[in-house]
Amino acid sequence: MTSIIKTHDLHKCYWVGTMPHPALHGINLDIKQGEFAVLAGRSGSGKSTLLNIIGALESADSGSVEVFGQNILEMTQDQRTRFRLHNIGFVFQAYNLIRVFSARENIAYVCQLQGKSKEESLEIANHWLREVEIEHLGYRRPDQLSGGQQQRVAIARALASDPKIILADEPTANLDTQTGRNLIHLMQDLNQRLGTTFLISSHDPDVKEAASRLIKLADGQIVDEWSTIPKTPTSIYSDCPVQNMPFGERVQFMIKRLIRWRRIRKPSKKNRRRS
Amino acid sequence: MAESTRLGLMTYLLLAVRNLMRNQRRTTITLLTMIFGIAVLTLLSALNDGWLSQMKTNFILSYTGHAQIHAKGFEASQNLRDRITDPEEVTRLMQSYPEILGWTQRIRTSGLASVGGGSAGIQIMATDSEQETWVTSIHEHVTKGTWLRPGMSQDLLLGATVADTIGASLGDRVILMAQRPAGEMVSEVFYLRGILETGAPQIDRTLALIPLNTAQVWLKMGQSITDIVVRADRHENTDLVVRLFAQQLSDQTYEIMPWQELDPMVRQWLEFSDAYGLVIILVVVILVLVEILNTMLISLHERHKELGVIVAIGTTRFQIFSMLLLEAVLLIFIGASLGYLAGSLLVYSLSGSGIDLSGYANAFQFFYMNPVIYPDLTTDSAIRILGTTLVAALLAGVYPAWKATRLSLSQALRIQ
Ligand SMILES: Nc1ncnc2c1ncn2[C@@H]1O[C@H](COP(=O)(O)OP(=O)(O)OP(=O)(O)O)[C@@H](O)[C@H]1O
Ligand SMILES: [Mg+2]
Repeated sequence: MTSIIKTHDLHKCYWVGTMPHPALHGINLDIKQGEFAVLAGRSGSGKSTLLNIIGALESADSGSVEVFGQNILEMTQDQRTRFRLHNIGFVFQAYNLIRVFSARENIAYVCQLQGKSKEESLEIANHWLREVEIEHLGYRRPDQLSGGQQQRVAIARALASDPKIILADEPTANLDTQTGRNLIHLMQDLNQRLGTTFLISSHDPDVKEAASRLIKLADGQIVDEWSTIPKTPTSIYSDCPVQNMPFGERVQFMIKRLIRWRRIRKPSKKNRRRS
Repeated sequence: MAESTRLGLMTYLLLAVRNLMRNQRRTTITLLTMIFGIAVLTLLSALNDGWLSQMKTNFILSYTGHAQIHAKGFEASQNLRDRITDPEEVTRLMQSYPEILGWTQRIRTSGLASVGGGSAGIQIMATDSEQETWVTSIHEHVTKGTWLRPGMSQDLLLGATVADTIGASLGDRVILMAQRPAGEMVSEVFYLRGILETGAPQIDRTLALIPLNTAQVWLKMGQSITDIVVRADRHENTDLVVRLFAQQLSDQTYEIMPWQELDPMVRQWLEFSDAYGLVIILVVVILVLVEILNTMLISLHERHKELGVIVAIGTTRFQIFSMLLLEAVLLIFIGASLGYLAGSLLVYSLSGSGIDLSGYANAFQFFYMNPVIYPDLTTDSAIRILGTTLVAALLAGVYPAWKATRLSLSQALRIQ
């Protein structure tokens, strides 16, 4: 099977002021066409960060991400926007529909962005509303729909742009167990019938059970399926060299250092996570 | 990959309108503030313009005409030595310009009027009884008695205040005293036939009107005169008329003055009124700007996450910018139109009866004003009001729109 997503030695560190928050530490991932892959891991392990980077929503500090053979880290902002529009569908935990649009219009919107006419877009929207089994709710606004229904609209919206992959960040987290299960079945069904690749982050055991492949993250690294121990037990703070600090913070940092007001706080050895 | 992202104007409009409807109370309050501001601005502008055009008309038509031609230096010296000895040279030009509605010749000089025991300094104005009526409306200001009668050489009209001061009443013998160009003082007997009340105190306080022929004989001036007063067909043609004469007449012999230059006081008031108009516009524009800016920034803050989502699913930053700008422009467009409409209705409802300021009339008459102001909405001020509001709208819309394009996706999407 062909690879759709390939990441190589991906590193990402967030900065809050001069405080580094390491998020990803050397991620090597290979997702094949048609997979129903699930990213699991504790809160804060870097699932959303990884999805956002793969989805060209955020950039990484180092490493490479190839989606359909294109290195998305090298794209400009507008190129990324276009890339997302034509290749990736997003499903978020909080549904994130456009409030002022009806369900149908929410779905049609991405088609219109792709340059389709309004009529054609609405046709496509109708089709996807049928696919997610809520065609009778097309005229309702998001605030007139239940969470499960909204998430179905979100899935329809993600599919309407005819993407090659759908990235879903904890799609069932806000839903009750049964609604969540129905949604998983829907996604599995779409995955099998249409061949759309899914990459889903989730804590939900039902989602993990449905996975054709389970990838576990811990402290920004991919760990063995049965273990939560990082493979490389080095400090992930090494991902946060001062050179990677954003410019503004760096200037601040330098000034502070110059006047010896405050030194950079490095974590002491005792605080490092070890097995 | 090569395809771009496109959105039709209707989608933008739909989004803008629905987003404005999202918080109806806020949108309504913003609109009401704008409507109020623009309506007041419209009314104040109209009052200012009405006031101005009244003042212009009063000033021009009651006394000065649109332009005057003097012998060079007369306006400064006010001396009969600086007179036009051959008025023919100027008056033969009059026929060739259709912009000239009428003209008259005058002699202007200072003198003294006395009757019985009272006397007062006066400004003698000698004019042709018929030609004067083609140029100014001063004959309409006769409140008692009659206008100068053709052929009656000793007729005299006095400003109401002068007549009061010296205690002259209709039919009285009034002795006028003046200086001939050569310098000798002469006096002459006239009969008071009419009282003039123009509303402009400096006229009512000083004017003594006599027939031109009489003055020419009395002051031994032959065919000479001091002023040739011209009335243009429209106020706006004043400059044109001045230019026409300036081309034809030597500036060594003549001075040609538009009405603004004939009374520095009036000029100052015109300038003041322009400045005043500017200040009003500025205040209103700042008000509108701050209001829109505030509304847009709050609504931006509320929609932070949604904007993140819209960008995430493929909307370009430029499209986001256009969406938000359109929203601000739409808001201002509606507010400004309704405000202007409300202002116009207000102006319209007041234009019949005017605003009566007769309580303050003394202060206002001084500026050639009637005590009742009739607001007048000119195209100029409409363009000024709507134009500046639009510019303000763009200014107020651009910043939030630009700010939206700078939003951090990773942060926006993590908001729960
Ligand atoms: N914008 C940010 N600024 C600073 N730190 C951040 C930011 N976003 C994420 N982080 C940090 O990066 C790490 C990874 O966060 P991420 O959201 O990817 O975790 P997650 O696995 O999705 O967790 P959850 O299951 O709770 O959603 C966390 O330690 C988090 O505190
Ligand atoms: Mg997450």
